[in-house]
Amino acid sequence: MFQTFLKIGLRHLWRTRIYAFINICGLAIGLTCVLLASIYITDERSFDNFHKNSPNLYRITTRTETNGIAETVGGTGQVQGPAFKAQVPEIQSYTRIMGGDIYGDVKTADKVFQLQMLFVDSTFFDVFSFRMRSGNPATALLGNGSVVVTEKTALKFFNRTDVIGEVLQMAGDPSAKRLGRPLVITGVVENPPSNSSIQFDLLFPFQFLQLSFEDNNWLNAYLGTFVVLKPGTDLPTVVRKFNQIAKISSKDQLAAFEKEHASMPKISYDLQAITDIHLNPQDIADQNREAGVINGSKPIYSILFLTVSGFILFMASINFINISIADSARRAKEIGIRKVTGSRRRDIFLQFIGESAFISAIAFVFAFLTALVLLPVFNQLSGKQILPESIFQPRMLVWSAAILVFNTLLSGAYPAYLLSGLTPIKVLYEKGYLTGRSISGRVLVVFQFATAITLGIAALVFREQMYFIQNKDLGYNPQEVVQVHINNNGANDVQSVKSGFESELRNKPQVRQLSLIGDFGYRQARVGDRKFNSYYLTIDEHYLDMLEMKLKSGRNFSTLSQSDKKKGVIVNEAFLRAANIENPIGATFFPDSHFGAQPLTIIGVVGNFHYNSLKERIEPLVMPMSDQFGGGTLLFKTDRTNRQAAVSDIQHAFQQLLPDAAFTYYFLDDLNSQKYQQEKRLEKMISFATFISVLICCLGLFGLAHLSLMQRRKETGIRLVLGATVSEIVILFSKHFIRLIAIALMLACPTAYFIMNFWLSDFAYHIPFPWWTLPCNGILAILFTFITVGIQSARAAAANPVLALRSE
Amino acid sequence: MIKLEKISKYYPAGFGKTYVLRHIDLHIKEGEFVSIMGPSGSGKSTLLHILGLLEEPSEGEYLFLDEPVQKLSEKKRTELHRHHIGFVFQAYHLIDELTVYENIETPLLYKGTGSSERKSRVAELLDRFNMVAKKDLFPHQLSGGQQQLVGVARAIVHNPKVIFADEPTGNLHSEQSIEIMELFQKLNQEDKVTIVQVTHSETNAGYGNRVVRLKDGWLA
Ligand SMILES: Nc1ncnc2c1ncn2[C@@H]1O[C@H](COP(=O)(O)OP(=O)(O)O)[C@@H](O)[C@H]1O
Ligand SMILES: [Mg+2]
Repeated sequence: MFQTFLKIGLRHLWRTRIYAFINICGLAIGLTCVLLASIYITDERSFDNFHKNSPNLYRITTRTETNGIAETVGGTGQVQGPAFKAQVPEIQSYTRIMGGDIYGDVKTADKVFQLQMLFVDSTFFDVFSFRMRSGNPATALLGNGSVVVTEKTALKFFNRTDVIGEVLQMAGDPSAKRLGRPLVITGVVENPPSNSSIQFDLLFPFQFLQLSFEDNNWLNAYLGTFVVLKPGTDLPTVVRKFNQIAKISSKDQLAAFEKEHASMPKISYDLQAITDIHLNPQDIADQNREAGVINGSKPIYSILFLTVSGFILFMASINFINISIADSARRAKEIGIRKVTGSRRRDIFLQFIGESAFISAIAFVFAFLTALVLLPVFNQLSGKQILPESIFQPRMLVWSAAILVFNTLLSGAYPAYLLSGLTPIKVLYEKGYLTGRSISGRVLVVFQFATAITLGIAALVFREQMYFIQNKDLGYNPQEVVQVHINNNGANDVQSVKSGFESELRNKPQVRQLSLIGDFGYRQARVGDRKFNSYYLTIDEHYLDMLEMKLKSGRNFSTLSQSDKKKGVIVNEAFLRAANIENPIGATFFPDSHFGAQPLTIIGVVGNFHYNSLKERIEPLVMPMSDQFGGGTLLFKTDRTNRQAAVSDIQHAFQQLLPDAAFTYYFLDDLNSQKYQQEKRLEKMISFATFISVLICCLGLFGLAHLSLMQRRKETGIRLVLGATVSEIVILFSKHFIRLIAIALMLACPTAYFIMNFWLSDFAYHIPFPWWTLPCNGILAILFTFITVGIQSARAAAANPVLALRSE
Repeated sequence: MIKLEKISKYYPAGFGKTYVLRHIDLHIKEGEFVSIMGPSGSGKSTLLHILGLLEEPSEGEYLFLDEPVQKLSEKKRTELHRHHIGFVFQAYHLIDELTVYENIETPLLYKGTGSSERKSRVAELLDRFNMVAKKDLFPHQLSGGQQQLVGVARAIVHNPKVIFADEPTGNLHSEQSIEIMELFQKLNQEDKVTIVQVTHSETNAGYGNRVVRLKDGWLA
């Protein structure tokens, strides 16, 4: 019995190989997408689960509520960890880690690199499962002056990994200066896996950091504190203990804060499982991410990816369903005769499911291979580093099997149900019982088209907004500006580095201008009793000129005026609005305490410019003079035609002035466009998804048109004999599909409008919804249909009608 | 109106070719009612298709309404189908998706006849063939004889000069055949329509005024 099924199935497949080809192609594409999505999600969810302790490994988070505004960040200060460990017996071990976005210049006698540093407690290897290659994990981080390097770092410096006892210099680092001797390598650790939120090139003992930066303030939260709890610990109990300890220990500091700021933050702690961090990183807002955790992501990407690939697979399944139903005429006789000879409905149902499973399985094999081949491209697109072998891990294989079963049912169940329900009388004695134009078939085609059109509109809107972002007038000119970050060498040094550059580059015409700025992020400003957040950027007298910014009123800084350096400030228009200042020039306000307790006097006002990404609204901006407040970033305006020469001049000067530092530079416009990396990835993904869904739609259309032409061959012949022209036949056949597309358009337009408007609203500065994308997609859809259906019907119409009529 | 001179038709077969029709010379005048007869496979249908401009002869010359058919453009050929030629098939070849009314109406649509004229013309034929009550049925709801009546109605609805019928009664039993043949005779005599039919039946041939016999592609 089974053999007969197999024989009939295979013969049927062969006879209808063009449809089999369409189905296998479509399903393979859809399955590839779903497979890649599964790989992506598996990787996203696998973050940090390789630690042996991960079921009991938590990060302490800090919730701060100031003036009714609450914020939770994934960090603490330096004091919490040791205090909690001392008083909470449930904590088995803990480590602090500071770093993530901290890079330092590390050198040997002949090489210097800018590397990612992490300052950790000596218990680091107890808490986390990063594997030591050589060295003793228990003692490697004990002695001040020791350093543990990754294999990658070891290879970079020494071209080998047995580097214990070798020394590294960090001449510029304030801690290293205090230490006064080179650092000795005490351990080599495997490179952190790509699915680790904690990444590093070098590990330093925490006390090395404390040589230059000691902090006992309970109100701070900037580094990561990870604790391993004893198995079976009740989390709320531990959290309650944390809060009690903190309440007692921070009492004096809170009181002092209240006295100074006239407001009292409410601080409470919580625990976050390490495996939750990647998808909910709770980055410390508006500051460099120094809490040890990087590569944070959001669940929305996984959801979006799975949804889009699910839709694509469904579209491919729709092709399968529609073609199966439309082609049923061919199978109908077989079904009828089987039923007459005693087959039950169940047998026939299973037969068709079996055929669907067979097609799905072939498609799946192709999909699996395609996913493997595309993995490097996919990694590039998604910013991941997934290894091919991870496709073969048991979890993925189970997933795959589930997808295969799901796909078989998705595409096979409905046609099998429909076909097995045919009664012999209907099939054998009547004609026209099932055609490709059944209601359900139409609904599915409409759905398919609506999805493709929605994606098409989304892709176009996306492109428009990205174009807008990248070409918007930012309020300044970022072109030809090179940015070089000077690592913190102590505040005063930066000024002398600046004058060093000035004299080094004086007679280099390709470097036109130089400016020193410092980014201090969002801080408070106070005018009278009005308090608001402002962005603080220290600048010098060249900054506005260099970036071609216009003063709205007042004047630029001047080196001649001593008071400019002490208490002059330039603000933007948003600041005036927030402060409600009418006559700005000469007005005063109180800056954040970091900038002293004295009021600053506004000497100039600039127009609003986008110092952040266009996702963010332009907030009040305070620009004091950097002479007074230091800062760490040098900007160079270079000659347009001589950019490379300028960069090498800058590099030369850099190496003269800062022999212990590694030179890295960025062009400001590149930096700007990097802010939209996530969006660019999404844009690529959506364009790609659109392309694929259009392809699948066209494949399906091709199949349906081919089928309906086969079924209507006789009709075509008759019409031709009656005097129809080829174009009339083409229109006749396309009309049906065009009508479906019209309905799909009516569904897709509002859907796409709703979704994309929502997406646009995420940008503080965005285009109005581009209405032209709707008719544009409509026309494209109709064009594609016309081409796919038209070419075929033209071919059919051009064939000799007698052939069709004779075959009766 | 129809003039065949040395018409041959062959199909490629293996390395050579198989002749289906050989050196056919045939003249048919306006108003004639010709029956083509011959054993199965002798090339009757092929000949009819060539006459009806559905197939092209491999060799020879064919003048239809004094025009050499070989030189006709696709467009002109379609024009001839629309205005001057009607077909009746053994298997009826009605369009399954269209009703009786719509099937009959189709040639008028291609001819570009106005809607009111179309209505009256179709109504007239429905009336004449006693099919008024069936006008909204689909082909599969009719008996074979009724389907062929629709086929004939469709063939003459646009007032063609000539009707080509390929075994029009092949699938019908005798009473139905007689009905169709009488209809043909009436069309030929009263409406002056030229008719060329293929038939196996001497009785049917008797309704016409001339018989052409084919054997192995030769005119006998
Ligand atoms: N497309 C074709 N290719 C090859 N041979 C054909 C083709 N069409 C018809 N024939 C052959 O031509 C011969 C005559 O066919 P036909 O005109 O249909 O005969 P009749 O109608 O007299 O039975 C037959 O032997 C048939 O097999
Ligand atoms: Mg024949």
